Amino acid sequence: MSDDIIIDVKNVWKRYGLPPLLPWKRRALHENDCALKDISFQVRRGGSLGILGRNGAGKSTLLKLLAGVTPPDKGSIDIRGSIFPMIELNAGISMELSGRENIQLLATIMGFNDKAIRRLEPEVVDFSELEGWIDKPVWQYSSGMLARLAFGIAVHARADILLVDEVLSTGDIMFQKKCHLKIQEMLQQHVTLLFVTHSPYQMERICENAIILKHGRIDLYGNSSLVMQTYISRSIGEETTKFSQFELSDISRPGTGDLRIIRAYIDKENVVYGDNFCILFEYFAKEDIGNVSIVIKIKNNLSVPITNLHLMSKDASFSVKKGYGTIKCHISQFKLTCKIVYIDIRIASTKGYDLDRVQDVLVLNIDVPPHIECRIGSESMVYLDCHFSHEGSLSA
Amino acid sequence: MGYMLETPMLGLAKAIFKRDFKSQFRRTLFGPLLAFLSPVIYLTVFIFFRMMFGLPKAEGIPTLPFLFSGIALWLFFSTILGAIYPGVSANMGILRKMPVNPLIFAISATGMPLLTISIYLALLLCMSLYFGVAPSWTWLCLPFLVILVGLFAMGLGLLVCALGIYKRDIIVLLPIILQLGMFVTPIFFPPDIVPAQFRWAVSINPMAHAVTMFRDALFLEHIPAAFPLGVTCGMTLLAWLVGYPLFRRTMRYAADTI
Repeated sequence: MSDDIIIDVKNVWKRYGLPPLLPWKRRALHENDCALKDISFQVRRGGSLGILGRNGAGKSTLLKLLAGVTPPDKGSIDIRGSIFPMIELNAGISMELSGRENIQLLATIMGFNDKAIRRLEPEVVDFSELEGWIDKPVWQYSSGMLARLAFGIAVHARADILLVDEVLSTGDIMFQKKCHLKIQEMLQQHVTLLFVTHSPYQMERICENAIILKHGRIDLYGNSSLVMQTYISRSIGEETTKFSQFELSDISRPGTGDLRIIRAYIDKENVVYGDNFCILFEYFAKEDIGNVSIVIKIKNNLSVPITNLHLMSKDASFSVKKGYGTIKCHISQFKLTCKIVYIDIRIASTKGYDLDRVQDVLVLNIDVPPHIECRIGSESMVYLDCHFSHEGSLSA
Repeated sequence: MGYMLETPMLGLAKAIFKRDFKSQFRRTLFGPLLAFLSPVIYLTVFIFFRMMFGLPKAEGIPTLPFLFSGIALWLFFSTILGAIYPGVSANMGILRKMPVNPLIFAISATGMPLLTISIYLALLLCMSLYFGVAPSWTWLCLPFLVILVGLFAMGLGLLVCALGIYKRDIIVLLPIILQLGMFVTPIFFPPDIVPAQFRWAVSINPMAHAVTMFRDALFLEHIPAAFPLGVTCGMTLLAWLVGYPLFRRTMRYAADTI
């Protein structure tokens, strides 16, 4: 392999579990009991690879093989450099020991000598923001603190390759940001990154290339923004426009129940990008309620909120009286470009408590004209009119 | 494959031992003193046994050091044998994410027994002197016998660990097997009271030979004879020849199983 390639995986198969003790009971490799099937890819030094896939697709198994803790049954894995695996983050951390002792132990396992460990210690403490806690036993830590400790050790271990398994989803948002920055910084220092995640956005932000694993096989392998677009458009699946109707007796929903939405729909069969249409919902109120506030939340297929339509009118015409009624929300020039949107409705009394809350009450399939889609990419959620201009000196 | 962390094995085993030592006693009241509880209990029980069954005194050996020598050596053997699987499985977390040599955890599991046997040995020598045993140059054999027993226990422990990873039965049965082993080893009775038809069982039991050789060197100024030494060394070698390759093989896949 060329000098630039740091990870070279060739035709790797992996069967899970122990091979039988007795040699004559061993069977040939059968496709059905393999967690990984014929996996091949390369990562260059300083590159980054995102790994996407559903639960059980073989992501963690792949990382374990790369970490070298379990051998492949067939194929070869060639790695030129040291690895720090951030898989099973809490594994290897001893609950009875203090944070500092854990740093020392893990650093020893990583092959650091005493001098290097003493140098490493304050860096980890500083990064993980555990100043007051570092000499307390780890079992007293919160799970976020544990993750911070483990992440701190990992990023300071100065390995050539980092295997990251969904750890960025732990810790609060500020710490997540810090981790992102640290990872970017490390990528600039030619650390190679393998990153397992469920968030295609996160993957696209961090990684150069990406793989989608499906039932142990590589489903898609390529540039990360391309992979993300495919992933998102595939996850839309076969959903079509859907309206909802509820029984009045349905009380499993949150909210006081003084008011219940019984039907939600739109006044069109299909929504085309740029359309004008109405979202309507019918309700039944058990008693006079007075003014209400309404939030209609529009989300994409990954539950990422796009926008809210908000009503907070003091107008007497929105005062809710006992009995049936219909509320209508006009939308003009619908500029969202998601192929599919999900809509939640939430009605609260002006005193602040929820009367009724329904999730995904409407599913809208939106026709996006191809000339728009090809301009903005299929993962985009909204289209803005824009025009570019350029001022520059004429070069000779 | 073939990527292993280049960590010095002994340094890491030491670090793991230090961690285990700390965490074992961190939330106890008596700390390391707890290690002396079991010989005291066994000593009491065996003195009681001897009185109850009227067991004969071993020739030329005071009873208390006789019992203590057997107990110390047996406890050393059985704690090592019993500690390897737990030591390895407690560190599965590390094994599941880093490619370290699992033998490190087996080695670090012998740390605590080694520490206690050193203290027992010192106590035993003091006790023997107190009971009028003359110091002899054959005492120099004692550390070597201890190491031989340790290696034997480790070899068996690796075998047990490897089998235990496949099927846990042996782990469940181990305490019972060890208990049985204690009764077929002359710890609280002199070997010559064993009926003739059961002598063979004693002669293939390497621990019986080890205990006898240990006492002979301690009390009777005998250096270990070729036959018992040969049996013990042979069995140790056998345990390693079977146990170690099996252990290595199973541990390669252990991250998948435990």
